[in-house]
Amino acid sequence: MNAEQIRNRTDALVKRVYEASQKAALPENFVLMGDDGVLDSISILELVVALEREFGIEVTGEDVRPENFQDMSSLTVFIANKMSHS
Amino acid sequence: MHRALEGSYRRGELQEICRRYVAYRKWMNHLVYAWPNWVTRLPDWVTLEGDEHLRAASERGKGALLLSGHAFGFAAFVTPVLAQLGYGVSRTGRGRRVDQVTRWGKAENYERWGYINYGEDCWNRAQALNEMRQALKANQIVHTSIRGFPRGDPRLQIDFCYKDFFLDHRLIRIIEIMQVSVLPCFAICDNQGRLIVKIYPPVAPAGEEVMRVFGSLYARYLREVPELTRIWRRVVQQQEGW
Repeated sequence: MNAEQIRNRTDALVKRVYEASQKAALPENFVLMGDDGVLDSISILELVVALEREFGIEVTGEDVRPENFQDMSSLTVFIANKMSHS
Repeated sequence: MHRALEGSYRRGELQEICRRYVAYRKWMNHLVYAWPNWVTRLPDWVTLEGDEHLRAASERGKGALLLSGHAFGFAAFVTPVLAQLGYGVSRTGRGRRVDQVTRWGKAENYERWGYINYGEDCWNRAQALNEMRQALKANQIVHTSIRGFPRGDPRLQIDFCYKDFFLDHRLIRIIEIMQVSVLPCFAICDNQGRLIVKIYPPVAPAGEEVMRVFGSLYARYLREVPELTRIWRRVVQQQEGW
């Protein structure tokens, strides 16, 4: 799976959890969690479950941190790294 | 307690409930500090009912979420007791402050149990939830308790001393996301002060089912042993966030 496919699938999953109706892709700096984030901790849990199912990766407790889940860009990089190591 | 319950019980009944409440609080505190003394004689002090449900959950290999009412009965002892009996078990909590039971449990002479700390910010909470999920995936038992609030989703309402009482919708949602088997669990004591930990058959991880089974059980315990809950003041004051 290439980077664009990962980005597109991640985009669809985030939109589903966020319940966003927009069709355009979420911007790279779209903040997921934190001060300006759109997701709460339970939504992140839902997203993690969806990511594991979609990409066949395993997300540990420690993986859920700002470097990986802050915004769309960091999340896409995180998934790519996880896939390359699995 | 009179303010919370007056109109629901006769005066004599109320006085008796108040007396039992004082006895419960004193006994609870005593058991916490005396843990090192009675943990070595656990069979004399604890009756575990329904452990076959734990074993069955373990055989299914997907862990189990033990669910208790928040600040009700002797729930604080469920995790230490199960750990001592050889179960791989964690409990959830908030903050770094460790209570007396946890300190004794970490002493080298006792079986350890895990502590999943919800922490203070959203990142801590997200990590804790994922930790909980990982523990369940590893076929462990996680013990947690559900809070109640004076306002909430009408579908999550249960009888509580004739006041409005709504269970925490967030935990119900977490259960639905994790799709984990939920085992209702209540810890009370007999009239000699010995603990009785009751574990009930698994409940499907759906809000309606949790309310139908766990909600009914919790309401029944609150009705039958109202002295075992520790949130009287909040009930009376109808504080936001209890």
